Amino acid sequence: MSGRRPVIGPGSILRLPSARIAVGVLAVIAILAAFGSTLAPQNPLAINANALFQGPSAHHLLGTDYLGRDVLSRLMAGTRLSVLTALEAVGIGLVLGAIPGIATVFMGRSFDFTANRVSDALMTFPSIFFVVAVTAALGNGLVQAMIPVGILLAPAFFRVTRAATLEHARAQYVEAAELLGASKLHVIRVHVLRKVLPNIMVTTAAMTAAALLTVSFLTFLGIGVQPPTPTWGGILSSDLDYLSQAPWAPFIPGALIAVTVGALNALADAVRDRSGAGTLVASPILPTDLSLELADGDRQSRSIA
Amino acid sequence: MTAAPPDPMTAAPAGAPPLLAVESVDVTLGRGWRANQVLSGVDLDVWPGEIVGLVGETGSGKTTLARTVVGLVNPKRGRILLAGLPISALRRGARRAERRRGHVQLVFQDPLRSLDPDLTVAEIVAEGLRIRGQTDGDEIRRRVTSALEQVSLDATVLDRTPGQISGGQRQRVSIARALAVEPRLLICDEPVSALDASTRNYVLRLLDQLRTSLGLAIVIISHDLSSLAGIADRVVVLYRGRIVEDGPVDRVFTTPRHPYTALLMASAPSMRQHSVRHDRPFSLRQLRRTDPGPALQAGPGACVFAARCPFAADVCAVQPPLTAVGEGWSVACHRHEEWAALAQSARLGRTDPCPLSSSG
Amino acid sequence: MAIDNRDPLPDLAPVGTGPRSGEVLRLDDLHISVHGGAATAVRGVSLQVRPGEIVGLVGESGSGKTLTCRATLGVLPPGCAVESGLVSFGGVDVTSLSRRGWERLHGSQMGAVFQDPASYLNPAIAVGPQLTEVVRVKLGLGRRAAHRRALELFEAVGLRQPERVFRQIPAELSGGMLQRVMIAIAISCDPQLLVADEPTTALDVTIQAEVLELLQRLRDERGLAVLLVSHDLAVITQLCDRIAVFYAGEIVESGPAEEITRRPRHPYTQALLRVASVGDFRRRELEVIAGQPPRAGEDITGCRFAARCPVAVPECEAGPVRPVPVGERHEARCVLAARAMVAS
Repeated sequence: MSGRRPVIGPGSILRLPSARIAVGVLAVIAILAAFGSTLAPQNPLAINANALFQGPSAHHLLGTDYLGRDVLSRLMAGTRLSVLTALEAVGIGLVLGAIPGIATVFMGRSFDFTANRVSDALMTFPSIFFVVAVTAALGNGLVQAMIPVGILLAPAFFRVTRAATLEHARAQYVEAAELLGASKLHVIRVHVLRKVLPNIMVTTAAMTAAALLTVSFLTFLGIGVQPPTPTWGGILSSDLDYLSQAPWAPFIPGALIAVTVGALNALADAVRDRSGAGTLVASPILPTDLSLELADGDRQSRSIA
Repeated sequence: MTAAPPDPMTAAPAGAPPLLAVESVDVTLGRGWRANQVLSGVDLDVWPGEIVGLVGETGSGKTTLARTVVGLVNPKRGRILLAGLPISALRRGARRAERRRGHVQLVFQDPLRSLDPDLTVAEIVAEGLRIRGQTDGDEIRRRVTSALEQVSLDATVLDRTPGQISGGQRQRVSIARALAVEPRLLICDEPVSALDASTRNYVLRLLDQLRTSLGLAIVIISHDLSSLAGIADRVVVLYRGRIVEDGPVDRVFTTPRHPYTALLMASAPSMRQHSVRHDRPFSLRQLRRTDPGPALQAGPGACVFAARCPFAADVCAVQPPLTAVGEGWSVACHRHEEWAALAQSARLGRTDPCPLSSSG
Repeated sequence: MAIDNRDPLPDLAPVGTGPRSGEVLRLDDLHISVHGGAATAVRGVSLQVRPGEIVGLVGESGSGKTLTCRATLGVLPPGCAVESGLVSFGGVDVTSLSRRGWERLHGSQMGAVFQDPASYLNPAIAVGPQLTEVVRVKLGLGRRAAHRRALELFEAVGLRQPERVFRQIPAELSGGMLQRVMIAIAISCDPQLLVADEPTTALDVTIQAEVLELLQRLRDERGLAVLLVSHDLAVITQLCDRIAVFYAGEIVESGPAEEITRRPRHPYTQALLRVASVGDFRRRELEVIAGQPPRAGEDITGCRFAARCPVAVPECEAGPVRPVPVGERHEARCVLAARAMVAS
């Protein structure tokens, strides 16, 4: 049957200029992530001892690094690793966080209590130590390093999804569905899911930004990468090592990280604006009619057309 | 997975128990220090084809009673029986199975809240069928259209969302959703209070017709006595969680046997004192406490209305049981035989120039 | 900068000293537009309120009664404006009164109560001080005098234990008590007119009866004129001396309450009475009015009820229909009623 309203129209989001810019930037990043290595003008691994620390030129649009490698090519090639591993972390966080976040509202008090405590505990984990410990156990690779990052992102998804679900799970149309004999799965599928999707989308965009920063930070520390593999954070790190020789150098990967993170946050804001998902915190959970009955004798609520 | 209980509707021999029996139900809401006894000792029977009006003010527990009957609230004591089957004792899978049979449906007060704003009318009305496992699209379409026809809505609303139709249409969609699963008992919580007078009557007339055409039993919760009088057979008056009067609507409204019912009748606005009120045997002044002193020292076991009752006496320190005063008519008042005479003599004792035309 | 409400406005008689004969409120051919002038929601509304009179405005939502009521208070919502016509209070034209001017009128000459009293009171402050604030600012009373007046007023509106209520915050009071507090505040400076917009709609019926009685008593004891707006015909017919029936932005009938209820002349009024079956508790066929009212501001030639009217004739839709006298201070905006008058 037709006529169903879309959850959020892409059209409505793109009406905001900030969203258009953000989507544009992210589209470029996405292309780079997919085809960065092939699109790069030079071989990102090619060392050229004769062209160290060169400034921008026709041949090297962003100059060269301490080994004479083309900076632009390295950044383009490094995009894939940085972005994909960030997405890996977000994916893990989403699955581990959002699914329990929805389920907990329907699974009873003990489940909810436990889930909340687990989420609280995860939020207190010192992230770097956790990552280091896991990579020590699983092997020093970015893919492995992103697993603990993902786990640490889960509580954010859990809390946002749970709050959004709570608001909708007690609605009267959910009660009406229960009176028709609906199972919890039916209620979630038909009534709840599409209403919490905006919140999940906002959180995803924001958490991707956080994950990207985390990837950069980890690769900056050298965790999870083997040289000479290019990553944004790794490039930034080596640039800082040679700051005296090329003071301009760190700005380039830094700017790239900042712009991408900024674009993700701007997109998250736009989705929040369009869907009202961000206003979640302000709106109280609607009481059912029961609360009217508990008032003392003189108060009644009637509405007129 | 618990086995579904046997369907009580399939074999109903003559002389069968009432369709709905509420037996001595107590309901408490809230926990710990906030616990509040919202219903006490409620007994109610509803028979097929009846329209029962449930009347009460804020705090009377009428909405809670509706929610308890359909199982959204569990009684602390007592039970709810549907054609003899104790549905209040069912849990989880068994309860869901019983609900899928669709015998009792609740029409909520505010259709803006009880209809999912993201679904179309067609999806809303079909939901009960889908939940039952009905997958045949044609059959669903047929039954949705039929349900909408029964509430005089045509196919143009099928693809609209609740926000795109009027308040009266929304309420009818809400009723159609209930009808789609072919219930035997319909409970309507203030179904018309958000509608203007003409639409109100239209929907009430609709319910009356449905009662006749489908053999439904309907319980209508309302604060508007006048519209209930138009269609209800019986009226049940609730005060602070207890039934104080239960009887045929025309008798109860013309000669109420409980002082609270009389107070409700006298309070309902009507034409001014110029016209003689045949249906108002009492004036407001007679039915209110004039004694400025403290209310009857009422302990927890006292009559719920004692604190407000001008006729309260020592005997009212104990909650009166529901006593029969006529055919299908009962009242919970120790003094149900005397208070009317007392009110009359009090009125005549005043220096009223014309007793019949005195206003409240 | 405090507004000094003790000084009389140069063109308005001081509180309490003006003549109490003549009209308290007069509306003449009022037109109100909405949506920034895009549509005219109220057309040609005229009515008068005399001292000590209770006048009721009745109609469905969207009929224009609320907008009219707001115009008399000078509180039209944004986007709405008086397009033409006259609003006069105590004989003085206030149609284009400045905000300052309205602030002087509010409280001292006219008071108002609305449907949901809780949203008009500060939830964090006890109600007593909220009332004393008004009398101290408007009447310049000292603290103790204001306190005494507050207690007097609370008692006058039927609140038992006024000292106790004085100290309670709104959350501790029931809907009925809050409405009484609002009424007390509204009459605290002894205004000539009380405007009540759906004052009892949100109250239980027993409490509603008490509040309506209170309004009647205030009229009897203080000569207070009341403008009451409600969609509930029963409330209007019970309380009011005169009634104005609104439909689609116009007054279709106005006159003494008893006349209108016994011998309504406009088909819409007749239909309303049948539908509402005020005070009728018998088993009966519930009446409906077929069709829907026109959208606000919709342009219609002729009578705006003609499309739904069971007795409409072609002349009804021919041109504008003016109100015609059909009795003592009784007018109806109906072609057939006019014909009947001519014939008799």
